[in-house]
Amino acid sequence: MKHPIQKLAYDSTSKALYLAVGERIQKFDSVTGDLISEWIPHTCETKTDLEEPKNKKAKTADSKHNVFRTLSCSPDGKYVVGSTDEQKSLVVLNADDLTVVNIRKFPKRPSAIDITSDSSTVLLGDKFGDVYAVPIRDVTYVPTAGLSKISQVSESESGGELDPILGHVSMLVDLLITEDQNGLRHIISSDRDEHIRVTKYPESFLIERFCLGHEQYVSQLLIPSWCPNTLISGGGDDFLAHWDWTTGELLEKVDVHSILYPESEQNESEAQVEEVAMSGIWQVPELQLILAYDETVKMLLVFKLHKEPRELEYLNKFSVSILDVAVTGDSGKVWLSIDDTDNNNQLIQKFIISGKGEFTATDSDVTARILDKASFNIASRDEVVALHSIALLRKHAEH
Amino acid sequence: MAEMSQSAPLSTTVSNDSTSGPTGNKRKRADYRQSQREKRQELKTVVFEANDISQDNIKLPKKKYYRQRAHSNPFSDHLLEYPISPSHMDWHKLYPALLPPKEDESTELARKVEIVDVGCGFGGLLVSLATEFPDKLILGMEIRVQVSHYVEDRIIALRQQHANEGQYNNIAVLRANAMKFLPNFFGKGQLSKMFFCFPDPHFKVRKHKARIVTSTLASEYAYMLRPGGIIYTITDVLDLHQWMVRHLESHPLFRRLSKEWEDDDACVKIMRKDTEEGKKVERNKGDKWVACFIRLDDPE
Repeated sequence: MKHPIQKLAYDSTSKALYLAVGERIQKFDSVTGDLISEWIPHTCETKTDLEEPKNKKAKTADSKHNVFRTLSCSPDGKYVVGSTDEQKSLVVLNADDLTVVNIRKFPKRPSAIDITSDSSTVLLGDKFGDVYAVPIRDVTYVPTAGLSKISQVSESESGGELDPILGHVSMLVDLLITEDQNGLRHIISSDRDEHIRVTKYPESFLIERFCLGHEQYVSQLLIPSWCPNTLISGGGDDFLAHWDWTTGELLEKVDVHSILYPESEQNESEAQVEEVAMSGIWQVPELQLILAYDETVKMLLVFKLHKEPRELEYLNKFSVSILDVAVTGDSGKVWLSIDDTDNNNQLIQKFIISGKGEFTATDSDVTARILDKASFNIASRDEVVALHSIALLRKHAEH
Repeated sequence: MAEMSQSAPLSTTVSNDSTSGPTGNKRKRADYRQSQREKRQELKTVVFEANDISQDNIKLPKKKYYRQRAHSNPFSDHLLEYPISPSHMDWHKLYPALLPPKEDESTELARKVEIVDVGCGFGGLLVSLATEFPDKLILGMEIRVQVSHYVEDRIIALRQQHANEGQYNNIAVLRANAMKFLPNFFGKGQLSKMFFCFPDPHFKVRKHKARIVTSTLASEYAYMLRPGGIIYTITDVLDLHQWMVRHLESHPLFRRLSKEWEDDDACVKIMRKDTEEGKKVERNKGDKWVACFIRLDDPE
C-alpha cells in the first residue's frame, strides 16, 4: 500500500501541485500529471542544527515520524515551505526544483505556519503557544530554546537569537496573517483554550482585540478573499463562527452539528459521543464557497458566503475521508487528498465543484498519471503516524 | 503536577471520640469546612443590610482549616469556570450590593472591575484596597481552590461585620487561572491597576515560562490596562524581581516608574505592608523588591 498524502499545496501561476507525503515533498505538473521533482530528506544535510538540550534522550533516526504537518507556497511562487513534527523543523525549498534553501529547528513542535504577502517572512506558531517570525531565506536567525533564554537576551542579541513575536498561554492551533489594501497587517491566532486573538503586525506587542465566543478549541481560521473583514473559524464546537474580525463582532454561529449528526439517524440506545472536530476550512474564491471538513464524521461541508447580507448559506455535503484540499482557483476545480484505508488506490482525486456545492470527478487521465508516481510504498498502516488527531485537542478536565 | 483534591469528603474512618487525636482534628476540620461551604453557598450573594440583627455575627475564617500546597500548575486543564467573553460574565453575583442583576437593563451602564489582584492569596491586599478605593470594584484572582474559599469566607464575614458602614461590598474573589483566561473576564482598556504580589518564583530555568510576567503575557496585560494604568509588582526573590523588570521594561507599552513615584503612591505602601506574604517576609527579615510600570499610549 501507499503512504497517504498529508498536505497539498497548489501554485496557480505555475499550476504546480505539491504533495507532502510522510517526510517527503513531491512536485507535479497538474496539467500534464508529470512528476517534476521530489525531495527526500535523508539525501541532504540539515543546516543550522541546534544542539539538542542535554537532558533530552537522543532520538534515533526514526524519521518516518518527522512528517510534514503544514505545507504552503509563497505568494511569489519561489518557495515551498513546510513544518515537520518530530524534529520540529521548518523546511524551505526552492519551488522550481525542490532543492533545499534552509532547514531550521524550533524549540517546540510547530503547529501552524503562514507566509506574508510579500513572501519575505514565515510566521510559525508552536504547540507551546509562541509565534515566531523568520525571514524566508536568511538563516542567521536561530530560534531560541524557549522563553528560558530571554534572560540572556542581551548577550545573545549579537548571536542573532530569535524571540517569539507573540504568545498565547495555550497550545497555538492555527494562525494567519492578513493585509488590507492600505498595507496594514494583522495576525489572527487561535488556541486550544478557545481564544482567537487579533494582533498587529509587525507591532506584535499590540493586541487589537479578541474574538471570543468559542467554547471549544479553535483549530481552523480562514479569511475569505472576497470578504476580507470576515473571519470563519471552527474546531470542537457544534458551530462554525462567522466574525467581523475588524470589530470582534460575532455575526453568526452556523450550526454544523445537525448536518453532521442528523436527528433521523440518531439511535437513542447507542450513547454515541457526537463531537465535532473541524480539521480544515478552505475557500473557493471563484464561486464564493467555503469548504469545511469534519474528521470524525468524515464529511466535507460546502457553504456559500454571501456578501450582502453577510452570511453563510449551507449548500451541500460530501461524504469522503480526506486529509487536505488544494484549491486551484479555476472554475471550482479542487484536488482532494483521500485517506481511505479500504481503497488505497485513489490517494488523490480532482473534482469540480458546482455553484450548488456538488462534487463531480474530473481530469481522470491526469489524476491517473499523478497517482502512478505519487507517494511511496509502505508495508502497512502501522508505519503511518496519526494523521487525524484534531479531536485530541478537546479538553477533558483533570479535576 | 496534580493539585490536592478540592473538597475534603467527610472522613470515612471517623472515631467516636471527636475531641482528641489526629482523627479528632481531621473530623473537626472536615466539619468546619462542610459548614463553611454551606454558609458560603448561602451567603456569597447576600447583601447585608445595615443594622440587621437577624444574622449572627459571622466570624472571620481560620487559616488552619484551609491548608493547601503553595503551587498549582497553571498549564493544567483545571475544572475552572470562566465566561465565554467579558460580556457573558455575571458580575452581579460577585458584587451583589453594587451591581444590578445581569438581566437588568441598567447592567450596561454599571461600573466595571477596575483593579485586579492577580494571585491574591489570602486576600490581605484586597481587604486594604477595599477601604482605600471604596468607589472602585476590585477583584482578586486565585488559582488555588482552598485559598480562594478562604478569601470568599473572609469577604462574607467582613461584609456582614461592616454592614452598617456598607464596606467590603466592592471586593470579591474568583477562583481562576489568570495566566490563561484574563481576556475572558476583562475587555480592552478596562483596568486601571493590576497587582502581582509575591508571585510564584518558579526558580528552575525550565519553569520560567510559568512565571506570571513574561514578554508575551505583558502584551495581554497591556491589552486590558488603559493607557495610564499601572502594574504593581513586589517580590522577595531578587531574581524574579529582575526578571519582571527586564520583561516589562523591554515591552514597548510599559515604562518603569521611579522610586520617587513609588514612595508617593498609596498602593505601594499597602502592597508592602498588607499582604500575608509581605508580613511573612517581614518576620523573616527578608528584602522586598518593588517595581511599578505605567501603561503607555498605543503608538500612532
